[in-house]
Amino acid sequence: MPKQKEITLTLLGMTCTNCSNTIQRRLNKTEGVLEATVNFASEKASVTYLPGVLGRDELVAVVRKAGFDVVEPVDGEANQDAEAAARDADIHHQWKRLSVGVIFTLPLFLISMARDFGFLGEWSQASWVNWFFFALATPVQFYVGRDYYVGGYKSLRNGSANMDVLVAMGSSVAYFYSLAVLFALTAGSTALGMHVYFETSAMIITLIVIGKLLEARAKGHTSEAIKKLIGMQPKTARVVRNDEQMDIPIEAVIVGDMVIVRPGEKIPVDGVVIDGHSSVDESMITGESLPVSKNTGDEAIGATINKQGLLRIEATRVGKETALARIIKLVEQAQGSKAPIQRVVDQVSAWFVPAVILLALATFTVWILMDAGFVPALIRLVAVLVIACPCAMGLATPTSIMVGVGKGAEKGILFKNSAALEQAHKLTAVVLDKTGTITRGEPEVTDVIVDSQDHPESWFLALAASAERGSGHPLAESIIRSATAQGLPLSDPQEFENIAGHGIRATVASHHVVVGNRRLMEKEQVSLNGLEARADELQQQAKTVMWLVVDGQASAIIGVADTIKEGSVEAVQSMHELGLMVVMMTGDNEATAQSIAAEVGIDRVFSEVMPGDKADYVAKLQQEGYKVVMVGDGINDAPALARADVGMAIGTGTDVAMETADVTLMRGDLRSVPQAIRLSKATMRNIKENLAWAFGYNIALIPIAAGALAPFTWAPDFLRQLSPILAAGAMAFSSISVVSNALRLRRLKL
Amino acid sequence: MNSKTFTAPNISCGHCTRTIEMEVADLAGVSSVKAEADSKQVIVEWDEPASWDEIKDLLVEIGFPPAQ
Repeated sequence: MPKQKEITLTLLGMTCTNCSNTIQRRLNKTEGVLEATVNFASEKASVTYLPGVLGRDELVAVVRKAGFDVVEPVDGEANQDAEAAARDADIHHQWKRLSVGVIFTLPLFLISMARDFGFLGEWSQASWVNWFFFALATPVQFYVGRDYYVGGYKSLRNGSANMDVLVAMGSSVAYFYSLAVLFALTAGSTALGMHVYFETSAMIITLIVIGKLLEARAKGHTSEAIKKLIGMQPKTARVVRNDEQMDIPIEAVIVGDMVIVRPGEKIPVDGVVIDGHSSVDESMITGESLPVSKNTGDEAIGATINKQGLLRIEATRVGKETALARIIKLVEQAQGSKAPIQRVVDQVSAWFVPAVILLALATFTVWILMDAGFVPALIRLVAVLVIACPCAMGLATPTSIMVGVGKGAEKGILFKNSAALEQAHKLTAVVLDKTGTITRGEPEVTDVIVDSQDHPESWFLALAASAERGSGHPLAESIIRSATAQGLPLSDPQEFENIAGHGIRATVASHHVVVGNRRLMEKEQVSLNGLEARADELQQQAKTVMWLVVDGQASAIIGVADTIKEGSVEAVQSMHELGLMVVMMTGDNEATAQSIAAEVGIDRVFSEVMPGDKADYVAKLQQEGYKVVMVGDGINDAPALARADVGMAIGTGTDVAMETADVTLMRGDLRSVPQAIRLSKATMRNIKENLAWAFGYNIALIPIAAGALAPFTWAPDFLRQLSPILAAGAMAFSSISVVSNALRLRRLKL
Repeated sequence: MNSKTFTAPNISCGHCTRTIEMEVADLAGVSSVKAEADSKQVIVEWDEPASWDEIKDLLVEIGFPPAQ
């Protein structure tokens, strides 16, 4: 009886139970479908079918033909499931091989060793014992060792040679030589020697399987970052459809749905807040530890946690489009991409195996020529073949890259590919865009200077803010923000007039109020009351000055400036500690630029730079011999980001900048830049350690396996004639040490 | 050429009309089917070998029996 399979499809487009009946009937009519049930409420179809007759694609086609659609699972999730399943299957397979290997190898090894050391009686020299060994070694050789024969054959057919070839060759030499001895002894000849090496062939295979198993398990840990990301995705969403609230699977949410998020719940998809206010923990996406306040009109990111209030959100991005899905995709791609250093390793590896085979044959020939005897020469050949397995080399780079990229993602640092991760450790200069990168990019009230004893500063600020309510100018908004932040009560202006390019005129709480620039003061012919000196001072500090006139008197000046982001100063300090030259690039005039540069601790300033020329300045630094990282918000510096050795876009994952930059800093905070560079340095160091483990190991042990220590009587016997069993154990250990070393990166402090 | 206009009270949305049109048009001999969601009205035109009984049975089977 053919095997049947069950599948669940998430459906789209059903509006009534007639729809679900239609789909159900259509599916049931399809050949190969045993049973189909469609649930209208959960929007799911469960189908039992015969996989030999049709597959998922055909079922989807039936649904589409009936006029409905099927939601494809989110990319990462499907991949992740497939990947996890493949890994589990691999681990299961290795376990089975290992169990069989141990069951047969252990008695073989123990009896054989005991016999060699003379612990067993005369009976153990009988020829049936050798046949018994043969019976134990054969399943290990061909069942447990099958993968090495298959893998080695495939690799040779492709014109290359991998570690499977070495394992298969090494164990086969020991096995088939022993088999020949066995036949000869049975026929009464001792021409080939008296001793069989079945325990050697079996131990080589079993030990290497142990290594493989541990490797498969350790690899599971390297992709934990992705698992964490996918685990953050909520499974269901509460939406309002036809004035009714319902919980639906996350895949069924469509753009435009109104989503309700209660306090403590995860925001299911990306959207815009249409009602309610709350603070939201976005640390999982941006790495920002402080909750972010959300009000009507603010963007909300899926998978972040709503802390306090009830939020109504209109879904703007769902499925593969959400910030989280894009991050998952980016991290996966980066983890799978090949680092430039890997190409070098690949080239070396390609030559390595043939070289080892030649070396093993040369070892054999030399020892034969030196009359060491056939058997010792053969043992050395096997030892060389086994110890030189380059599988640790193959693991060295990808495991570190996977851990490094995953570690970055946890901190809100997204590397687009492993080349970026590799490049970042060589950087010598950082170019920082000013607006939006070093500074917040939006003006903020920094000074309120009052020329009056009648009222406190806050009274004037509240008056100015109330008057500005009708405006929409960024400077006006900065005043309103400042007043609101201080908790000042605002009122609506009774009269309001906008004087374009100058300011506003309004009546607030029966005061006649004018807010505007110096030109407006001149136009209104207001006496400046000696505030000019203070205004000039503010202007020299690169601040914009606004004048406040109350009932015909110039009463206060308000200084507004783009303020430096939290963390910028600290970040520049860290960059200096990393030995980087820090450059600021801005369209501002020299004086303004210098004042900000001094505050942050910048080494070099490019001022009055036109947006189109940014890339040229990066090129200029490169000509001076610097390896340049450009950090910008990606708005008008895409060419500069592309031109730089590494381009880092600073801002949230919802921006297009993710597409252009090599690295995206989700946290919008400059401190991520030194973190990214430190991570790159640590990852590269880790890769080099791994390569040192893998190569150093081979280089040190191959000569020993070849018998280089044999002439030296001071050396211990097990090194003078290295047993292939020890060689196999050592080789398993080298793979494990490489993977463990890569996993150490997970604990790196950035 | 035979033709009949009838109402199917079970029609509730555009998907239903689509289902009816698709299924009935599959019958050999049916030359045109038009179903309308708002009026719940269906107009069918057919020739041999199709028959009204056959069409009616199909409509019952797919869950949209014609009103008497």
